[in-house]
Amino acid sequence: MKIENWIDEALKTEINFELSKGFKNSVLTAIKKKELRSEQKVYLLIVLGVILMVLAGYVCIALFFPDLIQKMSQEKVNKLIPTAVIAVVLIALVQYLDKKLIKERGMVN
Amino acid sequence: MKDQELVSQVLKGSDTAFRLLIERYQRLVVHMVARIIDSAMDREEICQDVFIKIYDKLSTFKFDAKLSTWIATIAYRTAVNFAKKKKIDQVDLEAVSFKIGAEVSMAEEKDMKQFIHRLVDQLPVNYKTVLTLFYLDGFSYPEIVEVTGMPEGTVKNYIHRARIKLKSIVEQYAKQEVALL
Repeated sequence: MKIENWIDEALKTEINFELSKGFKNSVLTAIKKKELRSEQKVYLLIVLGVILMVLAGYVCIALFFPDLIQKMSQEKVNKLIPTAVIAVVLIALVQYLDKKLIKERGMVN
Repeated sequence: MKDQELVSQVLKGSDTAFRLLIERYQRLVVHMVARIIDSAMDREEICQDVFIKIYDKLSTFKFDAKLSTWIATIAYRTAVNFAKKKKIDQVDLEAVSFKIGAEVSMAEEKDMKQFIHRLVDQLPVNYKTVLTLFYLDGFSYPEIVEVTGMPEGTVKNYIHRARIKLKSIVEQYAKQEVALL
């Protein structure tokens, strides 16, 4: 009977191992790093997608409407490029603000 | 804070809530991992992996089981997969040759507990896991079934056989010590 009790008590005794003091911090740091990596991957894919779309558009115009580019005056082209740049910058800004102001507010709560 | 609220806070992105979750369940994760893995460095790394997996998969947890059962399942699978990669042998109970140290005294209860602990450490992984979940974490048979994926009969059998084995070794050792006196 005594042996049975010893076995019971031994099985209920804590395992002799403790995690390091900074364990919680290291887990959170690892999670943040992982999230950052996957975020970067997404942004890279978006940039690649946009570049591919622009290229595809250009190829389509070149293939099906070869005269269109030639017909456009240099003046129009000069106006179009800054407009496109501003549009891209605005989209990037909206994305950034969305992440900073809205998603990070959730982190604080 | 209840588990449900804690999980919802973590899903909203609260670091504080996740710290609390780690604090609440690190004991359980340590039990699962430390029983299967011997190296202290590996144990810490695997515990970290377990909590990263918990964070990643938390949105899929729908409270159809207890959070502790779900966390124990992740810890068990992560540790077992690591053991398989490291080719840690999974032998049958009868095939284990227990190494018994000579420095234990039957009179000292503390020594005896340590002696039994050393025996438990030498049990096959499945036996150790089942014993830990049952005795140390207070899991029920259905919960152990959920964590390990073993049939309930096997779980009961493992606990019974492991206890008999431990008892027989301790008895044998006690006789030897009495004979020496």
